[in-house]
Amino acid sequence: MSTPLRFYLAAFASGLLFALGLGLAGMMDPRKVQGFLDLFGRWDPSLMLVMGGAVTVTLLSFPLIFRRKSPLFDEHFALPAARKADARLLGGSVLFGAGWALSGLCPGPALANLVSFNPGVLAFVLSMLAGFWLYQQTARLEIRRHSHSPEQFAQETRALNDEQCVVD
Amino acid sequence: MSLNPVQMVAGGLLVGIGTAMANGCTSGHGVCGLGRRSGRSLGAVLSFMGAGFATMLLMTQFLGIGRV
Repeated sequence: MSTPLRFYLAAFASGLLFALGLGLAGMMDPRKVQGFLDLFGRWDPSLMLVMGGAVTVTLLSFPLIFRRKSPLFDEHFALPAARKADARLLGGSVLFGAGWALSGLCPGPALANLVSFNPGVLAFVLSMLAGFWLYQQTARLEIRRHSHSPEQFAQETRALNDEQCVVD
Repeated sequence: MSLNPVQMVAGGLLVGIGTAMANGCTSGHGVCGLGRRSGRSLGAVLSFMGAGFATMLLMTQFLGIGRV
């Protein structure tokens, strides 16, 4: 079944709104983000309101949204199945936090910031893509090392890409 | 705005590897995961916020690395 056009229109509208919000809130300015992370120095706490505001909206709206059987423009909700915080999750988050402080950018604002045509932002995004690829390759090697059959390898690498998503 | 290229490349690599490993970032775990009241996302958010504050402290106080 092909994906209906309204799905792409909804995705486009969501992305547009998200990028506008990030820009208005100052999340696209790497130095402002670093000011927020500079807790023990010249701390700029204003970005706390951005995360706080966004989480307030999701905390209030998600219970209402998940009362529905499916999203407005898709057949199913796709939600992560994993429940436990393991070493991979915590270790990955620590690496991400370090990179976030070093550059003042996280993935969403960095992608939105591509429209500034700033060479530093472009360098960040290309390195980030290289990082995704590197992790993907390392994880595939690890699966190849322990898998006993081509079927198991195929299944586990698929799970890697689908990110343990359950279709609700 | 001229951004420090070494910090942007090193930061980008760490962000790429880290978010792929952790299955999410500030948007996925922060905005959406916390909104779903996911314990896994709370663990991720505490880890990346903690690491962010610690790295910034290390950079400014001990390594002499400033803002980009």
